[in-house]
Amino acid sequence: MRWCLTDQQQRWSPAADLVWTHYDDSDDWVVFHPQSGDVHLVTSSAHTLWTLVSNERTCRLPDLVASLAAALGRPADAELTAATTETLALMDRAGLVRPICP
Amino acid sequence: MPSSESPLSYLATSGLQLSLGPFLVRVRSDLAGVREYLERLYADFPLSRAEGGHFDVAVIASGGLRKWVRPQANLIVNGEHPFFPLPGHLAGAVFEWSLNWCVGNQAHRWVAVHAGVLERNGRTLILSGESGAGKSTLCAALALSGWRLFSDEFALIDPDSGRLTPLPRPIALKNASIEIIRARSRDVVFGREGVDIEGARFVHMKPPVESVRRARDDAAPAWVIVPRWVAARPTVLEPLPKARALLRLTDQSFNYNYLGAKGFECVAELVRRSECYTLEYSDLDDVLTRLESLTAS
Repeated sequence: MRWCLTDQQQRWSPAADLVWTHYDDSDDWVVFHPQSGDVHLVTSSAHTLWTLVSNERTCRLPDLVASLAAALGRPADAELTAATTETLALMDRAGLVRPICP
Repeated sequence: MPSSESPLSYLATSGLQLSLGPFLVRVRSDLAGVREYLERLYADFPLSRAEGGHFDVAVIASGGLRKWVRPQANLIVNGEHPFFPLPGHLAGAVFEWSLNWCVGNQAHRWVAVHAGVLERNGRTLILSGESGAGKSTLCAALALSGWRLFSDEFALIDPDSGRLTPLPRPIALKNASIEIIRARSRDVVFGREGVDIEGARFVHMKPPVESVRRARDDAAPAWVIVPRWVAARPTVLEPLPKARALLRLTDQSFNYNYLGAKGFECVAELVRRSECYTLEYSDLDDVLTRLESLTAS
């Protein structure tokens, strides 16, 4: 069965063994993916989302949007949902998160 | 029988051993161009009769009619043929490219990043530039202005200590940079000028003798600079966010992922310990003054 990014029930898990680095002179994070050897520049919000994926038990889109809204201090509206979906897709392509297949 | 007076006399037989920073290189060649190149640009380096080494480099002339008709240089490195045969007049450059290949592909004790590195007062300045950005020109100008040349090609970072290891070698200059650097010092020794396979004029500049003499003295990282030469542009030196500097250096590294997380963390720590800048310039004297002031503060 193929997973669907827009599926509200799709659950997500973090990739293992990532190495995250942050410096004081900007909000961005740099992450090293040891399996691919790739390095990615990640925004502060995307890093917060990844942390939520790592910490949350359910990791479904509505839960993540709600937690992200609380963390960023903004409403859990359609705009944030779209941004979260897009960021999950980007992190999926970079191998930073993985969909959990039912 | 080879003469015992000059190690170069072993070049065409058992080979000579060249000490390059932390590496011992066994070099063999039957091409006069390689011998002439070594005599001219490696005169200050420790040379001896070959007794092994980390890298085994042979630059050998093609046989048959190729000896006389458009001669070719064949490169053999540790038994491998990393490049197709190249025109014989590029023999000296082929030797340099072979060393780049060796370090980039086999020196995994260090994290190797494509960059120019110079040192002053025990602190290094790393120049990480795109091709054509003026990195080698700036590197050569700094090496002629009192900075110690670590390398024009490689930042070798020791993952255990975080310090940089010198690998001084001739600096490759292309096109207009040749005249710019020639005009800055009459004492500089250059190799024979050539045209590479992309049609660019190039020449190699002999490294300063003091840099060669101190080729075992490592140093701490201090500055990472991403230079870009832009015609008629005033010198602009601006802070570069460290996350972007890290992305830049890992992108330019040959082997950080070979070393896994340790390699990444090594580069990340180097960036943490360094001030990072972008630099746009067109006037070499002005940029040297700016870097003088930056690194003195």
